[in-house]
Amino acid sequence: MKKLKLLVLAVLPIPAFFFSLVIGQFDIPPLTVYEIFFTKLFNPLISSPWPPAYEVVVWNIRLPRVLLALLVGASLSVSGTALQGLFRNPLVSPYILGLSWGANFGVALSLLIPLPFSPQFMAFSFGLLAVFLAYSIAKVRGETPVISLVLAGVIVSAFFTALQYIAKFFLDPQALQGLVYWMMGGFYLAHWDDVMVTCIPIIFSVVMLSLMSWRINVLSMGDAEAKMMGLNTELNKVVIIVLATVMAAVAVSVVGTIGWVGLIIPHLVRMAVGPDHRKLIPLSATVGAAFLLVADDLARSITTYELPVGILTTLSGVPFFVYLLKKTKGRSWS
Amino acid sequence: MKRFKLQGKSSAAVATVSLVVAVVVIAVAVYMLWPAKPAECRFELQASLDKPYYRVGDEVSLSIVIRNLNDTATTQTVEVKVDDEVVYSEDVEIPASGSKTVAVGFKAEKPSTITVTVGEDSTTLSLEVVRCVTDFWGRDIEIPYNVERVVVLAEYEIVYALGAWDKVVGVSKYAYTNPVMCALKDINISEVPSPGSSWSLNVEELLALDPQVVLIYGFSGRTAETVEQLENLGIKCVVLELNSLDDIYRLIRLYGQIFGKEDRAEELIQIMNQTLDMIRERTANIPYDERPKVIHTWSKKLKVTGNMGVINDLIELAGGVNPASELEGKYVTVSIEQIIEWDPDVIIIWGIAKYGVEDIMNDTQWQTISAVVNGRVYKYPRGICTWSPEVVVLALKFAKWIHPELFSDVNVQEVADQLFMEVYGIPSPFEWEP
Amino acid sequence: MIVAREVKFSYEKLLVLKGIDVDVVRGEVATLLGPNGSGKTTLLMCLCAILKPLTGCVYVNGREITKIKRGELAKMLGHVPQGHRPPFPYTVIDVVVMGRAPYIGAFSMPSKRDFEIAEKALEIVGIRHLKDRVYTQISGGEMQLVLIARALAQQPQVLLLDEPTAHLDFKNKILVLKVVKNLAKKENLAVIMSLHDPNLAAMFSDKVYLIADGVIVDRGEPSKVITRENLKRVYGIDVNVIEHEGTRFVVPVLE
Repeated sequence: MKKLKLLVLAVLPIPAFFFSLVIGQFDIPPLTVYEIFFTKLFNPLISSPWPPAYEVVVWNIRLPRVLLALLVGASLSVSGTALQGLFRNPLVSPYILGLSWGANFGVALSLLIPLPFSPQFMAFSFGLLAVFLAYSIAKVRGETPVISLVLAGVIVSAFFTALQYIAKFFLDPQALQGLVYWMMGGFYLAHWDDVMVTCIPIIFSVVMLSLMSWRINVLSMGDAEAKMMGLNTELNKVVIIVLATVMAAVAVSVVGTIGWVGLIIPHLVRMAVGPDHRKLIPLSATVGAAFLLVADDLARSITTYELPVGILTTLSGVPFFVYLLKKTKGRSWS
Repeated sequence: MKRFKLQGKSSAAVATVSLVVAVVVIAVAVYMLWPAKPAECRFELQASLDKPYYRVGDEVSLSIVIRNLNDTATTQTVEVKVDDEVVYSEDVEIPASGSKTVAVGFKAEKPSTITVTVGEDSTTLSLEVVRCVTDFWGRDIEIPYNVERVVVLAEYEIVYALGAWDKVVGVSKYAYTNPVMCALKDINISEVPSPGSSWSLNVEELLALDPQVVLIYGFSGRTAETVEQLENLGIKCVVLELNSLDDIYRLIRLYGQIFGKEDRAEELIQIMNQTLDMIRERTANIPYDERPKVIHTWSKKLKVTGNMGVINDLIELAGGVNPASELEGKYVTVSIEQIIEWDPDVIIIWGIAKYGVEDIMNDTQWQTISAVVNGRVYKYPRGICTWSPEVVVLALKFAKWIHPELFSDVNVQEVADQLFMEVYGIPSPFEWEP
Repeated sequence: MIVAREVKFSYEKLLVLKGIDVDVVRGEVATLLGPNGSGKTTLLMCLCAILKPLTGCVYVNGREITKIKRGELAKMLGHVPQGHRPPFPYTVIDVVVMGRAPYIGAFSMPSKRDFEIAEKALEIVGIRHLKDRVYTQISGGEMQLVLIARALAQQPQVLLLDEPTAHLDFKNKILVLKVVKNLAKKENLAVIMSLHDPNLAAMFSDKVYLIADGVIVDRGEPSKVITRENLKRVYGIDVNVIEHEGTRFVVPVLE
């Protein structure tokens, strides 16, 4: 029974993937979608008997979007899980060290001043810069106590929020609208390029953090204890923070700030399979991927308009979270 | 010698005194001997208006009370003049030792002086008149008849085109980068102060400009708040929200009214209609199902023009069909699949968009769309305002893109140059025919 | 086995340890006894290299402790912290197996053998039956035993315990200290623990270090150290020391 549960959670993205491929504004019979998908997958050079629009929709529009949603979902959830374990705090999200506010400011800056860099690159760099600043602020005598890190994250977030408001003040309404939309996050611009850019760092980080998952167990006992159990805590902390931050920063830079996934999914999975990070990290990846994919399916099919998926993750995540919290009486972390 | 001198002086004094006495005696004599005024000509006049001030076109009701101070009845001519125009002239009988009330009505046109004359007596009053305009929020706003100090946060180029630039004391910060404003020869836009824009207004700077009227966009969610604040300070706000081609006419007429340039406003509309009529003539008869599908994309490729706004009207006018007009709104974000489903024949990109024709032509997701297949993706010049008279040039450009065969004889650049000359007195600062 | 020489330590300008010597060999239980603020915890932290002494050295197995890598040190020296509440509800066995960390690479998982060692450690402290219980839901005494088992899973030669009886009830205090004393003998460990209670120190130690104000007031066998004079000096109260069946008891004089 327990094994079955693990298995179901582990393969969750597969049905979500095939379900999502047939969802979209453009009407293609589901079977044709799968036909196109498998033909293109195994015989990419075959000349297609379908209308060219079909092929473009399935292969160039839906597939990158679906893959990107999977990647970003996995990235935010694993990042959240790893940081919650490391910081021994279940309220931590990938954005705790100021990542999202740094990224937002980067985008605002790129809209304000014409720079030779893309907004994505600016978001990524400023996201990392914010985390680096938070880490530097928290570092006292070569050590970074968790509480200092969290406080430094708050400080850095506040700093970049202020900077962003300054930038916003000078932005004209059109650009401002663009910034707001970017901040809410969404997959509607997904291209193969985005998948290519994000897949390597995200997959690499997911694999690395899965390998280090037992280390995270030990680290979650606290700095002093982990040290007494022979760990170089500072090095471990840096490696995990870097992996978790880079993967989340990559995701944020491509699709904007998508809230709650990195907070809720770690909780949900912890409630389902317990706190052991050896199961928690890989299953966060699969559950997070499936969750965000389905959320995006809703975002693109509820109305003719594109809804920002961040609104849906919040709307759907919060009540579910409240339900689970009440049901388990918060047992998963006390 | 001394005595002699004294003597001389005293004789001069005597002469002066006697001269004064003589003058007084003559004056008294003349007064006494002057024929007395006929007693029946003595009246007391009282004239009053029913309101402290009037709006242009309001009916003015003037009431005149004439009291006869004599004990005989008499008939007198009562005359009322507004400035130099006689609006009332009647003979009125006034009873002995009584009074007579005369009511006079006429239309208020502009601030004037009213002169009431009864017989030999007369009195004057001043007629205060304000303009009343209706803004895009449907509010009636009273503004001074002769506005002198106006801050224009919206469509400043129309104020210039109306010939009322001397009344402008402040502009929106966006005016500094507006290509038309920058191209104007006789003003230097960068020297006009700016209190910000309709979206971010520095109220203190605005107050420092001491305006009587502020023309402001109503698109921002905070406009209502700003307007209330300014109106509490005694500054009149005219709120503008343009959502269609007709709204541009409405705006030009409204500005004409505000600045007292109604004739020039009609002239501008005439200039616009010349081009629009030409387009309508050629496109009106195209059956609906033969019209090409045209979408217009905004700041992002997937943000399209819905059923609202000038652009949607332009597409219709130019003989196209906007498939996105099934969606509510001016800016609508849709999925790429939706656009493939619409399969537009022509794609027109917003002039200020940060992406260009190439970005759509080279996007793998767009490659099956007819407009891309046939290379009919266009972008119009940056900075062209769609809420000004020059919008008709844009309409013409749209029409030529959508129906090249119908407009092959038209040189958009020539039309644009002529229109800009007539409206702004400069050739078009935009390039229309690459 | 574990030796400290002339250890001095200061927090900022406050000198907390004023030159302390410690010698403990395998099979021996040494207790640091002293009032609050005497420097017991600081000394323990210096002994496991979490704090670095201002001057003086700590040697484990003849090697200077600061020159031993963390990973290697963890194989020689196990530390049992005061009972605490971790943020996540791991099972008991998951907590104990964490003691295998020094033997497991950064990108590896504990093997079957590591779990066997962990289970063995649980057996040694006598709580194998708690293996699958949730660590956060067991009693304080059991928690302390789990932490001792975890330290044992490190397979150390030295065991340091920071007030193992804090917050425990009477029965659990005895239970935990009995386990500790047995360990020293059976597993041949050098054990150093800090305690508050002179009676417990007398009952379970081979050697007592009486510490006050950062200096060792007296050291040696409990019977020699726990005397009326010494306790008066260190705690500032009058006590009677009573002997009963070879064990000494300290009873405060109430008048």
